[in-house]
Amino acid sequence: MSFLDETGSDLLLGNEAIARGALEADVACVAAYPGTPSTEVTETLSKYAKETGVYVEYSTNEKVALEVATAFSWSNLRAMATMKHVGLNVAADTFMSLAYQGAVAGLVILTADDPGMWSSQNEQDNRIFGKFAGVPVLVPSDPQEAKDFTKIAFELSESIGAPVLLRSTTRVSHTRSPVTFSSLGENVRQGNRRKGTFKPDIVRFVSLPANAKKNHPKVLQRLDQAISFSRNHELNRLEGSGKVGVITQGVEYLYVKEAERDLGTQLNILKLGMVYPLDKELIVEFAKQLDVLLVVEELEPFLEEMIKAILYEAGLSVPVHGKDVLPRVDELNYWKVRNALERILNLPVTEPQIAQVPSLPPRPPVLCPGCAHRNVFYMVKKTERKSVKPSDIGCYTLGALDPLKAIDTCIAMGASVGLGSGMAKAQEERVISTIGDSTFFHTGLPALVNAVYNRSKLTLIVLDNRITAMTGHQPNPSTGITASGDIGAHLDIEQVARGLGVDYVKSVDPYDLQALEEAIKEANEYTVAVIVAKQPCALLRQRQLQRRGERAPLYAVEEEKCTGCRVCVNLLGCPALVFDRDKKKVSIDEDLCAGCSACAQVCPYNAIYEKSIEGEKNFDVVSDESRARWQQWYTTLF
Amino acid sequence: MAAVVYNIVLTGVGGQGILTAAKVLGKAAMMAGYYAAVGEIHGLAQRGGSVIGFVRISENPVASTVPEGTADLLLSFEPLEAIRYINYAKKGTTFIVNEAKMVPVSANLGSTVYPSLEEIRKNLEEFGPCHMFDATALAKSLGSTIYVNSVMLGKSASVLSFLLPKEVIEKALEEVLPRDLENNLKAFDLGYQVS
Repeated sequence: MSFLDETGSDLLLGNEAIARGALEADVACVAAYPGTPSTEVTETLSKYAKETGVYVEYSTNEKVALEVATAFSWSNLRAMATMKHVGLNVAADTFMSLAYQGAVAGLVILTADDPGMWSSQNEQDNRIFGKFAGVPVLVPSDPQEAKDFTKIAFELSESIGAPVLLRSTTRVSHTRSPVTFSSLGENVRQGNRRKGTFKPDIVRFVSLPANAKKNHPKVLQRLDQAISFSRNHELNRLEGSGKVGVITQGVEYLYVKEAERDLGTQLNILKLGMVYPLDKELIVEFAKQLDVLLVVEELEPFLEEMIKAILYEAGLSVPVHGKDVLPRVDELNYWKVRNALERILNLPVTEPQIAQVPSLPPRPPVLCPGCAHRNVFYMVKKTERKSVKPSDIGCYTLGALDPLKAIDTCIAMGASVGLGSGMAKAQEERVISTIGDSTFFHTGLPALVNAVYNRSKLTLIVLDNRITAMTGHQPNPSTGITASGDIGAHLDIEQVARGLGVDYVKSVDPYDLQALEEAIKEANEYTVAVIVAKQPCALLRQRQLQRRGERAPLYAVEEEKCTGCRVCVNLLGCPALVFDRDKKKVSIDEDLCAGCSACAQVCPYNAIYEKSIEGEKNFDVVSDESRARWQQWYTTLF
Repeated sequence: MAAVVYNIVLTGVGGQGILTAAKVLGKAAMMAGYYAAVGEIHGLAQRGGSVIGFVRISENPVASTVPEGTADLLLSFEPLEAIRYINYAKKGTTFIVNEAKMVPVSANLGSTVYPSLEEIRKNLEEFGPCHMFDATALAKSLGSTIYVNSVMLGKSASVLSFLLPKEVIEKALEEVLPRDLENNLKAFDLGYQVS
């Protein structure tokens, strides 16, 4: 079974299904900034970019991604922008105005929301964004619908001339289940990269106030047209019968079905595929049959509030339940939905038999062995104990945890620099911020300009591992490779900082702790300082070395010299360092060690040595040879 | 199929190949004619942290999350992680547990203590049968810890034979891990033969 087969079915991840749906819709462009749980859509498409002729790009941020996709739509080529829920906040400026101007060829914006915050800083409900902008919102329940709805979203967008928001959640995007394929789009099948044509239309495309005034009523007209479209395409579906009604959507629908089965009851279900705009007539006709109605939806009472207003307007008094019996925070699940149904059905509420988890050593995610972020955080904590330490979104947010604890804040992409710039003024003290390379290019840049312009006493350490690591190693401007694997420009962050007028710019190898310490101290003498800590993502590097049949040097502990002081463990918290409680010695797990040598550098008894040199133990770990090797890892990774 | 839905919970440490194993079981279920829903968590939650994945095998579409207190099989790639997700177990859950410990940083720092294997086994056996063995050692006998997931899949094939024939799981393994297939199949067999 191949992903580009014309027929058949396969076990697909929800995000792979969305990618497949886009190919069936004959998409011409997909632009994205990676973000969990949205990433695999573009990751999948990037693999097939060459074969299908689809233009796939990782844009520097979500706003740019939406603009690139819009450009294709306005050039009469179907396009999609994909992002995680908070990515739409970044794209919102364009998104809100785009709703007035509309789409030419189908334009779909995927927002992958994260109820339960598995890998996010909030669980905002982006269905509200669709309503806010006046853009139709489709919500699939499972991978099959994710594929089908993607295709329908393109048709809807094109037929009414509006961008369409496709809203997935973690439990749809990251569920793998059987998906039946339909045929691929004509151009995709032939691998045909088409050329677009933009036809100027000043009233439509130039948002001067006078033009925008003409465009606003069109937003409302398109929403009316979306209702007719939803009826023709059966986006909203009726199931079952009886006096007990449930209106639901998304993965919540599957919880309702499972609870219905286990309770042995018959529900009258309206399953919505298009959650905005709501089909008022459909809701009223449905509610007329009922004695009671339960709205089952995760997070905000988005449907519930609209439905209550619709029923009030229609003079219907059927009781409507929703957030009175279901929580407004976190994901829903089988038990929450079943218990809510039991309550409105006046059945005894089943207490699930759930075993108590005893108190255990916690295992939060940690920085990988050999991750250079660890070294930076260790050194930041050592040298800048008193400074405020804003950080950002990425693997390195883990620097907030024990034992590193070298991060004070994390709000949103790029905020380490803006907050750092402001903290320096508010506290009248030097601030030390940390940010990753991808995040630096995403939204760190304008904030750095701000710090330079306003003369904030800020040291910014860019943790340049040459990849967007947390989301699974997508390339960015520091990588120098594009989404489709072509050679792009490698933007050197040191040069960028110099170009912006930063007072002190230095690149250092974070594996060399002494060099790192000197740079941080030296930076304190200048107003705005940027230190670029260059060392590739250890996880990726280890994989690459393995593929080439090489391996990084191993480190080991000389047992007689180890006093069991645990300085290495307490300062670095590297997962490869194992402390034996009985022997009171530290050892290094050879399967995990990635050869960064940080432990050897911090050991006060010089008890850790490089093992790889045959016949001798090398206790002098930062040799010229090591420096050359680390340098080579950075420059030849891609 | 015995129940309407057969619920499998897979746990372990990020990087052990748990999601790959889940995908193999899901594929096998689909090949055997069932509906399969595999639940995964990606991104930040993976980095060396505690990981949970789900496989649900059923006749009809279901959500991919196993409800707490309903696991038929709990496959843990690391002993401590079996206990961490005991809330998914019920009376009669079968456990397959890799007994090779991976000590979390918190226990190395001395703030908490890693329980003994005996304590862990006792705790699990209160619910159902527990197959505990060193899957990591078996994987290493083939040259790398990378084969742990195939070893674990092999053992689960011996437990799941009433639902999924061994050959079907092997076929699914072939599709998911075509690279280095020979060693993965060897690892699968080593796991299958564990008593």
